[in-house]
Formats: sequence, structure tokens, C-alpha cells
Amino acid sequence: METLCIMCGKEAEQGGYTARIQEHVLRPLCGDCQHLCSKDPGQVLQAHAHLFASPASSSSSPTADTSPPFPQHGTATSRNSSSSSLHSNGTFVNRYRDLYRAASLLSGLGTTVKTSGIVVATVILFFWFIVGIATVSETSSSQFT
Amino acid sequence: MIIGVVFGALVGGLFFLLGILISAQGQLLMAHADSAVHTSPFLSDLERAAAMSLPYTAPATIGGAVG
Repeated sequence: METLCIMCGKEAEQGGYTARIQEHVLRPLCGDCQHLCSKDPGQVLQAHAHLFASPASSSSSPTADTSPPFPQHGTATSRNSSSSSLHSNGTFVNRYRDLYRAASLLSGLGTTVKTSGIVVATVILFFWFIVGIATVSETSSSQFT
Repeated sequence: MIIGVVFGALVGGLFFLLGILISAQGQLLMAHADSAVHTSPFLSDLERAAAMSLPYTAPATIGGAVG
């Protein structure tokens, strides 16, 4: 599966490299961009400011070993083109999307049926409870007449 | 009253059982898909997390090569 560099858009070999500038993790990168990140991170910060624009979990300390959450990678990847975004998020992910939809639908349907079963049981119980009360009151009132 | 309890329990129990069975089918399907996604060598952890709709935080490697 082809992986594209989020900086230059070229193909990243071996699944891509990772670089970290400030508290931002850049992934996947090609070898050249990874080298550039480790060599001159300031230039990368200036030239690719949009990659660092999203709010990272950086409020604590700049040296903290935290990395950005998953959606940030999606936004970083989607800057090249829609095709690269589609590719990284994926044909493979799409492969099971309908299966996951069907599974969650079935699971939700089951929960709905269970809930409606409890509701129906309660309604039946109340109905027969009211019928019982009415019968008892009618019987007791007919005894005195 | 007794009829109501028995009938309600019967109908509610049947519906509840049916709901459990339907839910179980859905969860089995999900487990199959999770297993397929997990064992695939063509996916990265990121893509696995995306497929399973799970939150993912990438392991931070300072200036190091991953693959």
C-alpha cells in the first residue's frame, strides 16, 4: 500500500518515517523530509506552518511526551490532495465499512427490541393490573347492592 | 393481576430474548470485522483504529524512523 509524505506528497518508503518538531508528530514522511525535519526543524516550521496549526495537546509542557490525537493526522494528511487523503484513510478501511455499519445496525436493533420488550411487558402488566382492580371493585360494590 | 404478570413476563421475556439474539449477531459481525482488521498486515495502527472507530494516539518517536 502506497504511503504519501504529508510534507512533499512523494511516496514514503517503508510505510513512512516519523519526525517530531516541538510537540507535533509528523507522519508519514519520506526520507528526505524526515532528514530535513531532524536537520532544520525551524525551516519546516516556517515552510509547513499549516501542519502545526491545529491545536495540539501542548498546554502542559513543550517537552512532555505527548502526541497529537488521531484526527490531527487526518487533517495533516488531507492537505496534499483529496486523493492522498482518500488513500491514507483508506480503501482498506472502506472495505469493511458496510460490515461495521450492518453490525452496529444489528446491535442497535437488538437493543431496541430488548427495550420495547420491557416496555410491552410493563404495559401488559399495567393493563391487567387495572382490569384486576376494576373487577375487584365491581365485585365488592355488587356485594353491597 | 396474575394473568397480567404471567403474560407480561412471557411477552417481555420473549422480546428481550429476541433482542439479545439480534444484538449478539451484530456483535459477532463486529468481532469478525475487528479480527479481520487486526490481523491484516496491510494496515497501520492508525488505519486499524480508524476502521474500528477507536481513538488513537500515535506513539511519539523523536526524529526516528518508523519503518
